Amino acid sequence: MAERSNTQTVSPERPRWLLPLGIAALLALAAAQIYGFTTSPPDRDMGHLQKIMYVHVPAAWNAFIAFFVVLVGSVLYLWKRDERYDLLAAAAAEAAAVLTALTLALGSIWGRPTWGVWWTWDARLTSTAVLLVIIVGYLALRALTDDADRRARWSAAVGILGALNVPIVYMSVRWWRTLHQIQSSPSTVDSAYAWGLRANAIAFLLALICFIGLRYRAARLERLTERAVEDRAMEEDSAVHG
Amino acid sequence: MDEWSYIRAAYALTWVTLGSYAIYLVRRMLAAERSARMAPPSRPEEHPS
Repeated sequence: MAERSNTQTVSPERPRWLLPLGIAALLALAAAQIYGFTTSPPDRDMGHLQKIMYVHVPAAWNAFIAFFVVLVGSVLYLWKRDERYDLLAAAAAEAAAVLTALTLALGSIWGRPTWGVWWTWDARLTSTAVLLVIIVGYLALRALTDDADRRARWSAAVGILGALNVPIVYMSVRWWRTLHQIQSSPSTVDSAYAWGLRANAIAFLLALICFIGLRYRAARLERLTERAVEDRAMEEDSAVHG
Repeated sequence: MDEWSYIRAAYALTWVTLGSYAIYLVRRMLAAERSARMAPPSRPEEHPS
């Protein structure tokens, strides 16, 4: 590939879509939860506890989407060596960590009254916990590595590893029949719950896009500032040492 | 605890988690914007074309 390079700067002016998207995500979350609460009858087995599905399942799905963004950003970084892809992957990784942790916590709250335990070494729970450990490791690796190029390469490798674990998490309930029920989706849940589930998933998706957008922008600006400080230090150093 | 306590806990945890993370992100972005405005002019970002 040619070694030509173009140059771009990050505008300190905020993108106009961020604030409306944030407000839309907030309103969508509230509306979807009200819709889910008011339209879904109690489940035959779980009663009203079924309503936890409207937050647990969308959190899990959107964690998977965030991992997919990590995968795409990591692969593109290794291919193109463009820092923007690395920062996109890192922004998505942080959201993935938050949503994976939330998924596990909500699952635990749901599991206690339905299974009688807060935690069990079920295949789905264990593989999700492994996913969380990998993504926390990814964030720790980034925080502990100073060299930007090495940080980007190593974290891309860990990001790809984490994303490859997602199909295992998704299929774990079919490959290993344990306590966790099969995947909840509009096609596997009762039709009375399908639209509530879809609406909440879309609301979570809006929130996820907003999170990644905010984190990506912060990361680009931080990198720009870092570079400016490095440049100034080098200029001062060369002035002192001739 | 009755079933509604678990439901309330789940929804409260969701709002607290998402809300706290959103606040953290907005603050971090505002801080990054302030730092970028105050930073000395630097070489632009380089990206392979």
